[in-house]
Amino acid sequence: MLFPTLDFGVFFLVVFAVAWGIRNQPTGRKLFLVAASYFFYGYWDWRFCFLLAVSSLINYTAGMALARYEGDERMRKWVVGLAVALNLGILGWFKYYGFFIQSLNDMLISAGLERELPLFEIILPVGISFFTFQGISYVVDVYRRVIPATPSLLNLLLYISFFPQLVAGPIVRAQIFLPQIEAPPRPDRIFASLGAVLVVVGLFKKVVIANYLATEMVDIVFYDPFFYGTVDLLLAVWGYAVQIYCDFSAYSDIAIGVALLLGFRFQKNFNQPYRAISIQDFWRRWHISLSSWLRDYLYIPLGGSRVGPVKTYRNLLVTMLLGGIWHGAAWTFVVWGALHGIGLALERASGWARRAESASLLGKAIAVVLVFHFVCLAWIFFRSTDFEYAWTYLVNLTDVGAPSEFARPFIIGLIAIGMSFHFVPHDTVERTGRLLARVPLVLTGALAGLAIALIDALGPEGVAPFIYFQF
Amino acid sequence: MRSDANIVFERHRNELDVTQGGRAVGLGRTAAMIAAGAVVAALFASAPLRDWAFELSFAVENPDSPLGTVSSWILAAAETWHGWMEDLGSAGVYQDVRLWLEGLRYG
Repeated sequence: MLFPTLDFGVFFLVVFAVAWGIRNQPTGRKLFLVAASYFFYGYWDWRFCFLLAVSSLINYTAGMALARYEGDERMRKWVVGLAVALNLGILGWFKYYGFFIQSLNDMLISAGLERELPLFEIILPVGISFFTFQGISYVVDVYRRVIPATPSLLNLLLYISFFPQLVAGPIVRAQIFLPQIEAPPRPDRIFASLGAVLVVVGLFKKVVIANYLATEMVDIVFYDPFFYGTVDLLLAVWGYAVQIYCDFSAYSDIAIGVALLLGFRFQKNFNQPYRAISIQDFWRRWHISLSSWLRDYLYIPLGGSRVGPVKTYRNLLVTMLLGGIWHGAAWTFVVWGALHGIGLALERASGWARRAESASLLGKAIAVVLVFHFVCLAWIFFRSTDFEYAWTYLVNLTDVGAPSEFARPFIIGLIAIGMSFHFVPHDTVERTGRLLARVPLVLTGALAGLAIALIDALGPEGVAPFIYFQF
Repeated sequence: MRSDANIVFERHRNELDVTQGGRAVGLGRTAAMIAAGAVVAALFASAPLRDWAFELSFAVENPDSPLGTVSSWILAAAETWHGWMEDLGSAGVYQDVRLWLEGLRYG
């Protein structure tokens, strides 16, 4: 089920009414939220629900086993290792099997060994990377004794499947979510106006900015970069930068807003990423729940930055390479991750971040422009179908004389609006929520309803899925 | 739960309380806000609401089943509502906005 649809609107109204209506029956409320979440997920393909249940059962069993073997460190290591391997095994099978077999086939053919390895047609379940990472974080946190294992299967089922964040994040940690479902809901403490603002802003970013940029320019140019020159290719990569931000951050905004209206609080997932003054800064602002996940469960266990410069650079590169592969089974994602890894290592070696931090306003502005264009360079690989397309894109960027097809006020306006989100005060949404909390909430609701109707009217025909669903 | 997990959760909870200036509200007001939003959205977007109800009834394989009966009620209600909104003039706003944007796109 997609957020910007009437299906979801009706679904949400029912879930809101029932979940709050049975708030005094904790078990019934959790059961209802799990059922609603499975319905939401099964709306794409009901078979995916089994996978979600299996993933939850693996992590629940692992948590219970870790609690049972308390004091036996050897067994605990085995349990956590097995649970992580099973989680990654499921992810690997659905997401990477085809990619590795295809790559292996290509390698064998290039080595003169003609072998057709079995290639199955595997459907990628929506959001598998997100709920797998949530599951891993739960098991590892129980292993590290950051949280106790939850004895309630229902709690874990709800943690893994809770519909607002299920298919495209944010990746919510168990230490944030489980206490919220263990405590009774608070019908007197709902951040309603902030929730409404987040939903409206998210819908605008997705339905108007991201969808138009995709259909009017980005998809067309990236589908065939051979026919365009400097201006159009530059506009298209800027457009893609804005599109992916408006698409992905919109999902997070709506997820956080919907969760708030149901009485749950998630952490912020984006913080104006294109005003970053270094690549490190960018990763503190972009997909924060993934970058902090990679930091806590990969970079720091590898030794982080406490192991000398060379190993630190290696750790950065490995973390970003795996972050790239997490996004998708393609070499272009590997290159995207490698570019960020190398960028982070070079930045660390040169002391860029420190210098940018203490630079003048002009120096900071130059740093923002440079970092944004480095991120855009990496987006070219991220968005391109394969290396040939990415290479053509880069080569044709130098074709200054080619006429432009897309330098139109409508396109430039969309890019400008998308970028403007980065250069307003960072807490504009929160301020607006606070401001609207002062006016009668019925008026806030009426304004939100009007905004939603207008956004629907402004958007292109049809509903495009969110980019991050495929990850 | 180890104390640092509690600290993380408490800090997270308090952050929101601070940024919102403690402006949390009760369920009644939240429900009223959502109801007002739904009504106003339906005022201006009655045409897509009718299209959605039509698709819903079309998707039901057996029109004589209970699901088919309910979907036909929904469709009838959506059509009636759209008729009222046309009479009221609010249904035209949706189309006007679309035309305005078309002008921007190609103008």
